[in-house]
Parts: sequence; structure tokens; C-alpha cells
Amino acid sequence: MIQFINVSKEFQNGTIGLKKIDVKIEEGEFVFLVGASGAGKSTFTKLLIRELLPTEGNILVNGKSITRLKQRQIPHYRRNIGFIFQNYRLLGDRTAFENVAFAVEVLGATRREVERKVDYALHLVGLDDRKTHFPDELSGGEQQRVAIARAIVNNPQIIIADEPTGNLDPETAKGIMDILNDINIKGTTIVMATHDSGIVNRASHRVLELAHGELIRDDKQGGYKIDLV
Amino acid sequence: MILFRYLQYGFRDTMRSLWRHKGMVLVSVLTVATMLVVLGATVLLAANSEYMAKNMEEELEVVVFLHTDVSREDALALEEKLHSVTGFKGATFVPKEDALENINTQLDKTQLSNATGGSNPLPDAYHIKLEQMEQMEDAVAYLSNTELFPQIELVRYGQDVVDKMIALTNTLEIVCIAIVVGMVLIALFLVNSTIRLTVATRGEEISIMKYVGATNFYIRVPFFLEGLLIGIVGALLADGVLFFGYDAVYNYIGAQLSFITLLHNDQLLFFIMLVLLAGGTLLGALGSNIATKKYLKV
Repeated sequence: MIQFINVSKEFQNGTIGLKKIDVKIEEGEFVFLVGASGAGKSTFTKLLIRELLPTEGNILVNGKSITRLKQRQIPHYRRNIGFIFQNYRLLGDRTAFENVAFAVEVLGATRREVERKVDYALHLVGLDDRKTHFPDELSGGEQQRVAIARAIVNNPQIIIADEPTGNLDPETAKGIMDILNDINIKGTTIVMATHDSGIVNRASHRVLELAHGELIRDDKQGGYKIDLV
Repeated sequence: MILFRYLQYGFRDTMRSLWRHKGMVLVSVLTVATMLVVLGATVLLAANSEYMAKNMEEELEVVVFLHTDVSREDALALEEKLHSVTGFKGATFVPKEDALENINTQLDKTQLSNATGGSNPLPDAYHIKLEQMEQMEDAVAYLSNTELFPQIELVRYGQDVVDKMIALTNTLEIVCIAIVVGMVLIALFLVNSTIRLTVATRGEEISIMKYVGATNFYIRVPFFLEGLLIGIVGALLADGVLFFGYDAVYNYIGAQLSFITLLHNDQLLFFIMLVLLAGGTLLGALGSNIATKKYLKV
């Protein structure tokens, strides 16, 4: 499903983002991306959503090279990916419903279709009764659930989550992980960058560990072993 | 069909955004309106100064008095020769009888008749109009040449008025250019800061839209419509201020300062209003385009 072939990324200021990464992620897998700050986790996810281009190597998604996508093809590629951010990134002037809805509207869906999909996504994350609330009327956990609803509303094949529990207390973080696990069980591939050793150890999913841009560990059911924290 | 829905969603988002950012929208509308009002007012000021200068120019003339012994026949024959004056526009012959009649209407008839013993002491004269004020001094020098014009005894013109008028119109021209240049600079600054402010608040919105797979077109629609509406409303506001404001100024000056005649040209006013509307619309559309462009590259 996702394949990094000898991927390197060097930034214009000379910083090495990633160094010769070779990794393959199968359909339906749940993969944790761990490592210290600056290890290359964000570079990895940004390359995957085609926000960055590698300096070297190739990235295949569903057998197709995303590094060769033309500018106008990028929006269509991204519709197949759900992205969840650490700081939720909701639009403050839109309600929970509207925040999720615009991800469907960009596809040109009818109003009825938008309503059906958004209602279902908000139901999946347990926010049926928060539809008309604005982000600042919601707790951190609720905001992240809105963000998850936005990420899953178009039923993407892949979800990329960048520290989705980073701003949440352990209890709320657990709730978010439960939702992500449910999504994964239904067949969605999830790549999640995280610092949270507790979550990684509890879940026993595959772990990719990065250090200074290099892949130093790939454990099928690894746990969070590194000495950072 | 998808395009129709894009426009439908875009229009709804525009309305929602205008409402939710009403403070900012108001600032933008007022910025556009203020700028256009001052620009329009400057154009009207320039048009009026030109109009007034032209009016005064038309009233200015060189008067030449002929020797009293010049026969009527020679006096009339002189007109042909006056055409050789540079910038000559026209000449009116005022026979001494008319001049006397003219004076009689202003003075007490009996007193003048008594003082002159019943005869007419006034000479025949020509009132000469020129194309431009600036040609007046040359014309006076030319007409004062007694070899060329032996019939002419005296040449008179309002030298002071001419000098002041030339100075005034030149100053007004410089002032108008300065105002326009100043306004354009202020306008650029205001529009730039308004756009920066918009970009700061909308940058996040645009980048999130990009992450969920929105095309540039989809992102642009509501911003474009919003900019367009702000520009149009600002321009209409400016048009209203100019229309009613000019009317009020025109009436006030007509009543209070009747020696000043302002230009009353509806066609020009409507033309300026139309240009401002087009300018405002363009400004709004371009502004939103600049504001979104920076963030569309994610």
C-alpha cells in the first residue's frame, strides 16, 4: 500500500530530514512512527501527504508514485488520505458539523450526501450532540474527535495522524486511540507519529523508529523502547 | 453539476464569512470607500479648477483703444490685421457711441454731457480674446508696436489678474497631482495591510482546505466572491458620498460664494462614479487573489 524506496530528504538549509528510508506498509496496518523531536517523523508524514517532495528516492501509494503527481492531481490524491494534527486545526468560525462538512463539500457532493456522511462520521466519534458547537465550546478531546471525523468522513484508505494525543490527558488520549483502533479494524491503514510511550506499549502495533532521519528499528509488535521520553 | 455545487457552497461560505468577520469586512469596505472617495474628489477638484480657469480665461481680454482721429473706415479695416496676433480667437469692435452709451448707463447722463460739452470724448476700441492666457503678454507687446499698428493709441489688459490666474492654475495642478500621488500611496498601504490582515486570519483556513483535498478553484471561489462584494459595496458607498456630497457642495457654494461657479456636469460625475465602481470591483477581486495566492502552494 505505502512504500518508501530509498527516500532521502534534505532541506534547503542543509538539514537532513530523512536518510535512505526503505519501508513498506501493508494495507490495513497500524504503524507507530516514534523518535525524538527532529528525528524525521514530521518529514515522513509530510512526504506522505505530498506536502514535501523527496530529494532522492520514490514513494509509492497503491502502486503509484506520488512524487510524480502533477500539482493539479494533488487535491485528488489527498482525498484518499485523512490527516489528523496534534493541534486539531479546526476552523474556529465553523461549527463541528461545518468543520467536517467542508471535507465532503470539496468533492462536490450534494447537500443530502454531505449531511448523511457528516452525521455518520460524528456519530462514529461519539459527537452526535455536539454538532452545532464551535471549537471553542468543545474540550480538547472533543475537538480532536471532530478532527478525526473530518479525517474519516470520506472513508479514506489511509489515515496519517501527527501526535494526535499530544495535547490530551491520558484518559482522553485513550478514548482517541480507541476510536483510531476501531477505524483500523474496519480496514483503514493508519500511520501515527507519537511521543506517547504508554499508548505505543499498550497497543502493540508495528513500530518504526527514526533517529536523525534514519530508520533504526522496525518491529512488528515493538513497543516504545527508546530511551527518550 | 459539480461546478454549480462549488458555486453554491462558495456563495454560502461567502455570506457566512462576511457575517462572521463583519468587523474586518467593515474595515475593508471603509478602506475601499475612503480611498475611492478621495480619488473621485481629487478628480472633481481638478476638473473644477480647469473649468474655473477656463471660465476666467474666457473673460480675460486685451482692449485696444484707437486714436480719436482714426476714421471709422480705417477702424473697421483694422480687424483684418488683428488676426495676425498669435493665439487670436476673436475681436469685437466697440464703436465710441456704444462706449458712451455704456458709460451713460453707469454714470449720471447729464453730468457726463455737461463735462464734455455734449461731444463724445471716447475712442473706438477693440476687445480681443486670445486662445490662452499665457499668450497675453506677447499679444500686448505685438499690439503696442506703433509701426505695425499706428491706429492704436493704448493697449490695456488685466496684467495682475492674468499673472495670478497663471500662478493659481499651476499651483492647483501641482496640488492635484500631489493629492493623487499621495492617495495612491496611502491606498496601496491600506489595501496591503487589509490584505495582510485577511491573509493572517485566512491562511490557516486555506491550508486546512488544502489538506482535505480542496482544489485551488474551490478554495478561491468564496474568497473571490468576498473580495468582489467588498469592492463593489465600498465603491457604491464611495459613489453615494461623491454624488450627494458634490451636490451639497455645489448648492452651498452656489448660495454662499456665488462668485465661484462650479462645474455642473452630470455626465462627468456619472463617468467618475462608474470608473470608481469598476476600480473598486477590480481592487476587491485582485486583493482577494493576492491574499489567497500565497497560501495556495501547500
